[in-house]
Amino acid sequence: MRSGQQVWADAKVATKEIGRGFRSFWGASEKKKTGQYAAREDFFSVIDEEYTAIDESDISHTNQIQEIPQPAVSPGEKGGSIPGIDSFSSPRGSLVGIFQRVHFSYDSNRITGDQTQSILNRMAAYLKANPHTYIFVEGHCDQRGTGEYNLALGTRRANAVRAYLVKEGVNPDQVFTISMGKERPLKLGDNEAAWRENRRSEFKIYTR
Amino acid sequence: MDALASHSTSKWLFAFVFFVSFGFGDSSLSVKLPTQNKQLPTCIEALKIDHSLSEEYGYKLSSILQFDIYVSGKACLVDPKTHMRLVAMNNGRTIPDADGDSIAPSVRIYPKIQEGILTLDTFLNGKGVKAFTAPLSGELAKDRTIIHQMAAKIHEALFGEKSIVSQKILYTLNLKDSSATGGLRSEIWQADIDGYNARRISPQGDFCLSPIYIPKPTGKPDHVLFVNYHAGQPKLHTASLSHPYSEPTLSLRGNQLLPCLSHNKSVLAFICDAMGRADLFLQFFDGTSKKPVRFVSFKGATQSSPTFSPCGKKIAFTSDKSGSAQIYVTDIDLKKKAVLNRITQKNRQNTCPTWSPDGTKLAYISATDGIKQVWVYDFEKETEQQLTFDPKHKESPAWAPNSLHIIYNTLDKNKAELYLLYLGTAKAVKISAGLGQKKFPAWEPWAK
Repeated sequence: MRSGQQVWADAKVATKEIGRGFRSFWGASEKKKTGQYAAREDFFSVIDEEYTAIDESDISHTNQIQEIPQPAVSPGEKGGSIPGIDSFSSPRGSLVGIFQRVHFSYDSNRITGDQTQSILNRMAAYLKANPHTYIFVEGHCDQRGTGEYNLALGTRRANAVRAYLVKEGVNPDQVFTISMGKERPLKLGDNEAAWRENRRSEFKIYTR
Repeated sequence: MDALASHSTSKWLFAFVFFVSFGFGDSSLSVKLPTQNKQLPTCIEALKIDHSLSEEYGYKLSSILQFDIYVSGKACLVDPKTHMRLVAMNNGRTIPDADGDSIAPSVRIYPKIQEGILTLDTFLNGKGVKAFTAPLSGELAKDRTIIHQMAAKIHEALFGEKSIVSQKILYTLNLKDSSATGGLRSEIWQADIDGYNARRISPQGDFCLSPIYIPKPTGKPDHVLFVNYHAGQPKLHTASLSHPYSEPTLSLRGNQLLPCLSHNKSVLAFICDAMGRADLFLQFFDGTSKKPVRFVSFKGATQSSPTFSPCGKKIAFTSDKSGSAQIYVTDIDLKKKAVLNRITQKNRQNTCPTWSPDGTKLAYISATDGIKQVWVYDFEKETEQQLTFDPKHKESPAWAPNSLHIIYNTLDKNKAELYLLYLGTAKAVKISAGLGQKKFPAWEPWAK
């Protein structure tokens, strides 16, 4: 049961974000809107139980809760066949047009807009055609949130892109995520233009 | 009657406006949290020095002592000649407080250097407390440590409690480096609380952040834990303070971020996207569970910044599951479903909670009129109170082991510096200097 203050705080959120306002007010989870992809993470069976999940109430609604586990072995780890980040590089040549940066709205990990989806669709097509290409998806944030919060938000942005690519048919073991938070800004500046540039995902590529 | 009522109403209205304009309109108000301690006026007399060391060197040591006495919080410095109150400026200097008054000192410290031995003869209300002595090496870095230790002993003798001035701090240093990936280096450094004696702890070339100390059963910590991007994905690494080499701490897929260790080292909390979300995980080291436990997870929500209660039975963290970042507290009990108690109500964006070592308070960052300020939640009174009011953004508060000081970093026009704040006065002093952004500070716990 929420207190009056909690109701008031949620009402303020609802007022400020009209588009998400009602959902936020009622505490319901995000529902997919026509023509707009929310950050859906498709569910796959966990291959081996390397951790214990005890907060089952949220993940019990398996029809709606979808999530994509990270690959079992990270690049550069022992037992893995993918080398570490030093073997990955920024897109070059013809790949620049395919692995373009995608941007996010403030405090959001939603994949929105035709341009972003078009970039990711082209990326997905390339990765499906090149199964020996592996990518790091970096999640970055602007300077306004705290460093700590932005490190966590960065993981959500990177995972949103990863989830989109996997939903489009890319092998999940081809895509790894890195959160950089706001620790590697693209543009310095305390203005909307710099913030917009910094709220992004960018990619590093390795081809075996 | 009507005229009287009208006049009375006008008086109350005027009083209200007066109160509001000076009480809430003044952004430079400082709010002091009630502590049981009042500051003891203390003066450090002029240094007497023989020819074993230069006067200039002696002056540097005096400045270090002044800074230590000032930041300890329990003493207010007064000038030995004028008895005017002194305030510490950034990076170690002290100057007269322009708004201060004259105070007769209760404590007098007489520093003397003779044949390379430093003596600090200390008197309280005219009676001798102790003459603290230590040999000096003539090397500023080593002698700085000696001054910190002596200042700590003076503090303990006067106030009967440990001092924070001889503790170390960890922080992340971001430096521009055109040869580094992304043009930036991010390293873990350790320094004294005055920002000096700084040295790199993390492996050279590795991108690292979010350091914490790993307490030892006895003695000072000699290992640290931090996030290392060595192979690409951020992973928790453990490193010794004596050589800059680190190794992974635990095996779990995905990004491992924002570590926090319980005081008895039995549980490690961290944020991990093993399942594609920013989830709060716990790794137990006391046999509760061999594998990491996915403790808090909400679809579409970001969890961050876990912090343990001193007893290790409760955990606080940030989650935006309600639509805005709020701070929640819950019991750590794997046998039942976590019940989250939301403790922040006043503001919309509340992050970076850190639990005080005495368990009574939570410091955190809250966006207040567009500025990220330090707030404190009092568990006993169940109140939220703003602690800082100046116009610089603040982040990552960390409690000192005495629960009376907080260190945090500011962020202003892409510069980030470390500040030390004493709750008794709510005054903060800058302790970092030099190139680079200093962020994610952590305080060395007491040696056991």
